[in-house]
Amino acid sequence: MAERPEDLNLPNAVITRIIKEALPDGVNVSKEARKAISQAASIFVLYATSWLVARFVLYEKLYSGNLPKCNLCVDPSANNFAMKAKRKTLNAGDVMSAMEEMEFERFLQPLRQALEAYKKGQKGKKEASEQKRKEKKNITDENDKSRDEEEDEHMDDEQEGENEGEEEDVEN
Amino acid sequence: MPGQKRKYNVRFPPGRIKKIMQKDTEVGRIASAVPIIISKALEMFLRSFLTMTCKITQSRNSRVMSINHMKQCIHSEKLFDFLKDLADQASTASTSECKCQSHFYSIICENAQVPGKKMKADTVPL
Repeated sequence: MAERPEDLNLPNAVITRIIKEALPDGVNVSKEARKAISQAASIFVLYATSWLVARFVLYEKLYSGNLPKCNLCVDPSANNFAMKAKRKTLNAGDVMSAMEEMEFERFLQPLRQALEAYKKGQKGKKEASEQKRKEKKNITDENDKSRDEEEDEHMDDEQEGENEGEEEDVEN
Repeated sequence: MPGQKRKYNVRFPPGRIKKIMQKDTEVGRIASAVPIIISKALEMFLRSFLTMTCKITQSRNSRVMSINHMKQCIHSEKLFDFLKDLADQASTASTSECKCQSHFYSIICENAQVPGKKMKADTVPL
């Protein structure tokens, strides 16, 4: 069941589950309507993305010129500033702001909770893998005195930081 | 005792969400948390949309949610303005005649039109 690389549909199984949970017993959905719901889902992602990008581009323009942050005014002279981005990665904070712009403010609280849960999960994984790495090191360095152990740990942290450049959560 | 998993996994695959986002050519790098948050927002959006549409379905004493109920919901809520093209085009037999004002639906249309692509039959029973 190979998926085409351009498949923009979200999995039917997930959509079906959401429909099942949202609707009361006894209410069904026509085939046409089900398809439309799936399309609406993809459109929502594209729509949210366009807000994310719009804010991001504006942010870049304003900050690259060192202007005070202004969400509402678009200073025409901002176009004259260099487009060097201080930040290249869209982050979770951008999503929160986009939701506000889209008038989905009531989503913000649950989204923050989801973000916290995700961060905790990631932190746990990171600590677990660091722990494993430490244990391995202890075994291999058992014969040597541990004078370089601290330095190694620092190096590991830096390397991890570089490797996870794309994955990094930028704190807001 | 470890926390129980949700009975239904309603999280959308982050990779797929990222692919959809990257259809927007302005998008560069995306932090890993972003598709997770979008997935959650999407879930909440769909729930709202379904709940509001269901009210219309029930108000018409129907047990089957139809495209018309969805159309009515979209046109009655400013929040769903971005779905107007979907509402207007959804009942046309062929998606090739897509006269869209916003380009989101046209992106979805393009995907559906590609020759040789066999659409999965939507036969999963509710």
